[in-house]
Amino acid sequence: MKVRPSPEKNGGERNFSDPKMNQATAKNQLLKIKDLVLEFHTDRGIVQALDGVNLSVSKGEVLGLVGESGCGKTATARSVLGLIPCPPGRIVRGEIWLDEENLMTLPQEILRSRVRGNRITLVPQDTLGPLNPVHTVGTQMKDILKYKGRSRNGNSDRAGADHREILELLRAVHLPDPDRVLAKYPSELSGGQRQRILIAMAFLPRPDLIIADEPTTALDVTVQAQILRIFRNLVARDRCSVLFITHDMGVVASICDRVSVMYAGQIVETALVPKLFESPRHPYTVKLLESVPTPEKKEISQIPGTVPTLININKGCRFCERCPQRLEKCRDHKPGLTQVDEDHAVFCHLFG
Amino acid sequence: MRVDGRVAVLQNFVGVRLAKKLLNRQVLRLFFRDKLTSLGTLLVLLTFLSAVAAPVLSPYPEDAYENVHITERLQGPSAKHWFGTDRMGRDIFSRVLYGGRVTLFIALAVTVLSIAIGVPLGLLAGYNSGTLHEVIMRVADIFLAIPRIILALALAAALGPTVPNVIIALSLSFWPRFTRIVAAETQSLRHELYVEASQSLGVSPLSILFRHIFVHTVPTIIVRGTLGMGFTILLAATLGFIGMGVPPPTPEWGLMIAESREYLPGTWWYAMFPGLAIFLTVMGYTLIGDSLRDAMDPKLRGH
Amino acid sequence: MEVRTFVFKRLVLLLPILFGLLLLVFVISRVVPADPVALLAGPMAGREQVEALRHQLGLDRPLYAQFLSYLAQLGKGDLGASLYSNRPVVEDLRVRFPATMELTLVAMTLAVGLGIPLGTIAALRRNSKIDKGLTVFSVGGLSIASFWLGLMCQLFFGMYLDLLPIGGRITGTPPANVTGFYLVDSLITGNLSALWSSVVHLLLPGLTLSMPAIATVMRFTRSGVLDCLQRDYVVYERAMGLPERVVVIKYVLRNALNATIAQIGLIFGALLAGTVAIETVFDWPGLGLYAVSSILLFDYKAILGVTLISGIAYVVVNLGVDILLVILDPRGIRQQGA
Repeated sequence: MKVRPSPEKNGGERNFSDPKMNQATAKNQLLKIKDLVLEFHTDRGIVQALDGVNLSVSKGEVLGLVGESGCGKTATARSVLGLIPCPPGRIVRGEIWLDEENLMTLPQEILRSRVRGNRITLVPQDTLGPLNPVHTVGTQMKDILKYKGRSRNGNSDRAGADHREILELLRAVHLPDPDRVLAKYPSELSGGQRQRILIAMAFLPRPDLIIADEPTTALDVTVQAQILRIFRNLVARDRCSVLFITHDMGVVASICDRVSVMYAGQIVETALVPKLFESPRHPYTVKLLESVPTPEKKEISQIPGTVPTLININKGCRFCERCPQRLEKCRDHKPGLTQVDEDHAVFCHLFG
Repeated sequence: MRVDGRVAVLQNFVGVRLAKKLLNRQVLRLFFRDKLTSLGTLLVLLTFLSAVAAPVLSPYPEDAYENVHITERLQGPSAKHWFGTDRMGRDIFSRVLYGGRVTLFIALAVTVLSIAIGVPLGLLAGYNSGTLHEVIMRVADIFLAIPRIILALALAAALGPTVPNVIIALSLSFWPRFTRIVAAETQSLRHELYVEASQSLGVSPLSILFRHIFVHTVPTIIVRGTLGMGFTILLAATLGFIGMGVPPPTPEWGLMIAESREYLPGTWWYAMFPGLAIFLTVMGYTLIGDSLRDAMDPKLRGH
Repeated sequence: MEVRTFVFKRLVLLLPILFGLLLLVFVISRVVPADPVALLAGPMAGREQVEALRHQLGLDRPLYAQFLSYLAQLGKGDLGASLYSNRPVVEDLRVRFPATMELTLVAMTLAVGLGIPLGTIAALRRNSKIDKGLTVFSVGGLSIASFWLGLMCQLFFGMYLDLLPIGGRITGTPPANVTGFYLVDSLITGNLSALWSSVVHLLLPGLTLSMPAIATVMRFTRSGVLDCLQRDYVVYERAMGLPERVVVIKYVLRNALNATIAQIGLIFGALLAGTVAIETVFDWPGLGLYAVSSILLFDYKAILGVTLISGIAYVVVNLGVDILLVILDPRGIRQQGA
């Protein structure tokens, strides 16, 4: 997987040189997470899972959310969907805006009926678990459209139209012989086939935002490339926004427009993808990019130390224990936002 | 009674060391985890102790077996006879307490015997494949194909209604259940790496069976045994009710209920108290059995 | 593997079990220490008379010969004659079988109809007051001696309150005999008073018989549903905003009920066993009562007949359950064949 962003990665519909296109203007923003603080009360103490996360996804944009396992990426996604169980979780403060609505003020039933599956869908990481084992794939896809599809007033042949739409989407994800596939049970398909189906299911209700939670992690590299290509095409076709969660910088390079880097519950850097790869600022991002092995490197570089536990963690920058460039104040003073460039922000004392 | 009180009582019965060993923190935590479990433990202790102490606790121990007080027959509960009297004028409270002895004795004997037969057979069946396994499992299936009570009835009828025969009859219908579950666990454990490692080291099969495999089946056996106690008590009472259990004048709860039928509806106490005794005793074992099962292996919740 | 092949295989496997069952009961019934022939002949009979009777009944032949001739008779559909009534056992069984089946099926319906919803509710409201209450109820239901419960209900509803009948299948004339199931027959012949009477007579015995079964079904359903609620597909379905009732009924129960349905066979066996006590309490003219009386009288042909019929019923129900399971969840055999 190449580290540098490849030029052919999209249908050429996005133009990075146009600053207006990529400015986080209020009108253009679909999803905006403001200062989200999330904690979990456990037997061993309070886990400070998210510490003031700021994130935004514009309309039609693919935002990558990158970080190691356990850094809070999935917690962020779950928070957007309102699926954090409280207790033991507790959202201390923060706002999550979808267009003009603050999702945190909506009651669960409204979230379920109008947001989840309608405006925001999910592509999960595991391919076998999320699919119900006793129903065919076809039944499950039909149910998505049945309960979540946009209403088609006056269309008497609802079932037929649904069926055609499903077949069309299955073809778009390159599943040959869609009718046969629909009749199969999830256990009868391969991991790659299931992932395509889950992707199809995410696009089926024509959502505004798709949250993809490490959808390629469970697949081998060759299949991964295919899946990413399919995903890109569908995103271009539907012009939806995507929050793409991953720990793989190569995937970021291949599919994302912008990327936010996360460490231990804090966002440390956000930038356009080419910019991030060319000139990463935050020490963690630098180390992350360095650790991707390429043929020229003789050694594999690592980041010394381990991810800190999130109970009783320091108030400042959470990377400071492992940071080669740490300063005195890093431990107790949380760095603020420094706009290094237009659309390149860093949270680090080294820069402001 | 608080914990120290219980220790004192047990010390008198069982001895200081055993009492201290039984009452360590873990055991206490296990048996008093939550309200329902505590209730179960208390019920079991209550019924067990009252059965053991029946001679001491009964106001009329001579009424336990054969005795006649025609003038006092079929009297309702009073200060003199807490549970009333039966058709022979015997004190029902005393008979209920002694009935506990009979029932618990039978239930314990049945459980022990069934384990003694069923577990070794299960280990054998699970460890071997091929004919031995097939034979044992088919035999178990045959016994399992007949509902327990029919088999127990037929056996009790064939052998004659006495306490030892009832025990044999009930055991013969209980052992296959242990064989089934032990065989299943043995089969899956047999392929564990540490078993294969032991085999390749030349450890004798008997030793493997005992030290590695059997040890892991103990929790399941305990759970099944505890739940089985409850069911066995119900079965014994049913046999007694039908007339195929222990013979009169043995004080057996089912028998007492059967006797009472003739005199209903007037003499409600005659049927009520023995039945209540059954209910409380079985409930205790079922509650503990459930709780032990949840504690030992949450995945087993279904069985 | 196809469903048909599966059914055939299972049927074939069940024959040795039935055979073993018969053998077992035959041996038991002949090992009786008391001599049924002497009992039959009466206390006044002399030695020669008893032996003559024994010879007449064919009971002096060696055991294996007796078993073989019994099997031969079976092949012809003849279950022998009751030692006492001299009626063919088949006749006795034919009359009594529907009575017990009706009672058992009613109890089974109650068990499933009440147990599954209650268990699901308990699982959905885990650890709430409702759940705790239902748990106590289910443990209680399992711990009660059903004959005692029956007796208490008889006392209370029958004798004290005079609300429900205390015994028998019906008051007055039964409906015309089509199936032997009073409920069905009264519906078919449009006999409303018989229908009402049958229902009223079925209430107490049916409820008391089904009590442990309701409890068991409730417990299994609860644990099955709890288990499924933690699965990934529930998280996914909720994340995709599917309505909760669809998630629970269509997706969760379908998975959870596998375990419960697998138990139906055993529950049926337990219900059959329970009829022995319940029929005694409520004077229900069925197989249970017949079993008890024939055992008490050492009427071994009758004992064999009852065992055979209950064994067959049990085995048929289990087979039906297995087939149902396979239809509901074809993954099992599809993968075996594929």
